[in-house]
Amino acid sequence: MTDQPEVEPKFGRRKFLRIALGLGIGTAFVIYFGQNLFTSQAKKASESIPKPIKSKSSLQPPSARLDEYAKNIMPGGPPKDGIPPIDNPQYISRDAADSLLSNNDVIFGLEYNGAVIAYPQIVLVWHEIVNDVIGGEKISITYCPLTGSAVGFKGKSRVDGKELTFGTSGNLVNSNLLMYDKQADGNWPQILGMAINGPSKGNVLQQVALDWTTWEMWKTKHPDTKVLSTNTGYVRSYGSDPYGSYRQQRGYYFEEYVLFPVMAADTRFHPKKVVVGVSSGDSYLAVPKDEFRAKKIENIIVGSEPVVLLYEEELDVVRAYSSRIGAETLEFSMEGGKIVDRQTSSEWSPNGISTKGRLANSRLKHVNYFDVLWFAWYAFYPKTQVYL
Amino acid sequence: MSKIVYILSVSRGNLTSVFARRRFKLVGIFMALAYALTYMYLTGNIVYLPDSDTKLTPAPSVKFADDWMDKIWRLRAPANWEPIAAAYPVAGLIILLPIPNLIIAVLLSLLFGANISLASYKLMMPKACVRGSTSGIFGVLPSFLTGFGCCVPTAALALGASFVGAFLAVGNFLLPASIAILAFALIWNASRGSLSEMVVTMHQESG
Repeated sequence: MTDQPEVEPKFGRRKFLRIALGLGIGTAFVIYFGQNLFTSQAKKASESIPKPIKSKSSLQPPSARLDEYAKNIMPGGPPKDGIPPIDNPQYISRDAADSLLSNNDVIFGLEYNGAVIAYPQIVLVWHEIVNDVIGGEKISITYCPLTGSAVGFKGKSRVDGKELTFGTSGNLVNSNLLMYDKQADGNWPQILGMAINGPSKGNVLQQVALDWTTWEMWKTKHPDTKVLSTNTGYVRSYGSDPYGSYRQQRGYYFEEYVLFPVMAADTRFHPKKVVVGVSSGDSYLAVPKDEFRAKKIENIIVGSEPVVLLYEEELDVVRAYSSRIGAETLEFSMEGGKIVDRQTSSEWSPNGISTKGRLANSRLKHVNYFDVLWFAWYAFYPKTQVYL
Repeated sequence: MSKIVYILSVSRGNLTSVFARRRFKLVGIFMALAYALTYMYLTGNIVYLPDSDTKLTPAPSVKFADDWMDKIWRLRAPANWEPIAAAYPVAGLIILLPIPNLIIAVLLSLLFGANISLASYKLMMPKACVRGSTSGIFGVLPSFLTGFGCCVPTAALALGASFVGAFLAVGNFLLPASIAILAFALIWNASRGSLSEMVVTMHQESG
């Protein structure tokens, strides 16, 4: 065929340009049409609240539903550790971090064992877990973008004293990060903080409180803070977020749609409403964060535990503490802009430390709490009470 | 077997004929380049951060992952591998470099470009001379499968919960399916008649 005399096909430059233009427009149309299809499907999905998977035992406590959680494990897409945990975290100073972060960037603040550390959401969204040693203690900082929950866990098990480090299994339960422990490969949904299978099944991790706040608020309160660096050992497009943007308040974090099936759903709130999930024993409470800002302080009972909820304006966080100090149960109120307990008239800071009075320097013990999206909290704890 | 060899031989001859013409070669190269860039963008390996600080994207520079040799074949999502380096050519622009994705980008874009070249050549020929003068354009459609195959999490984000299961189930097969269909479409379209002979015949008849 190549021996044939070279004869140009019958077309002119104009026809060629017309066809090239047509191909270009056609390709652009297919891409545009594809994107529109994606958008319209996302909107369609957003019109309905998540459909719950049929559940027969939603009123039982989580510890009695471990097999049910295990049955509802579903792949999230990435393979095991495809979202790589940070095992050798490096930190930078506040000044160095200031040029990386915008003032309104979300960070998860940790004050523990004398360490003050900020974990930027724009870094954790690509890793979800940081395994660290703080003050000689194994601590894992975990973040699930799909359920908007950041929880710190102690690595040491209260039950058998084993020290655990965690990875991302690539799977989800109720849209929530399913961690696996690298020691025995058991699975732990982050919101539950409990092993649902493996040799540690039923064991509960001890939480370490994190503050979900902004970089501006955190650095103002803690000028000496360290900040998790983007030198994670991996290269990622740090600064971008595959789910949306807290900076610009758009995307998955703010829209109604939920990506993965959940075990229980509820219409009382927008699925992405931020609540502070408080738990004590087998009792659960959801505190809508926006509404609580005006209230600032509340004495409540969660299960059998007297709990005080305190709002700290400086960081825009709500924390939950046990009201018990030794044998005494305290009741707190706001007097002249100060938090005071009625029993001893001691003054308290919003982070649970007495600053003045008979109980000066006493520290309230926090109960388990963390910020979380409403749909996810309800999916795990359909028996939850709601603070209104 | 001899039929397959014959088909491949005809296809090769016809493709050589098409690529011998500068215009069609340019169309193919241009479309291949556009496809490669689109593929890398859709797989999250080209990212533009217009409002980012220059410290997040210290341009111009290149950063390697720790132990990057160990990470070359490490999968981070369906059909998406661990980048071993990131290039920051200008502030705000990040180009991640996962080796398997680069190889796939080259392979797919070459197939895509060749299909486009062939399709545009056939479209320009008089219909009487070329079998399937318009059907060739459909050869490029499988290339769009890779958009789904390579970014299941992105597709899942856009398509919502009811689609996720189905996508995760088929996601791993979309990329090889896309390559196979593109290659098949190219060979099939290119083997349908001898393009040069037809042109010559037509030319002689009209002359």
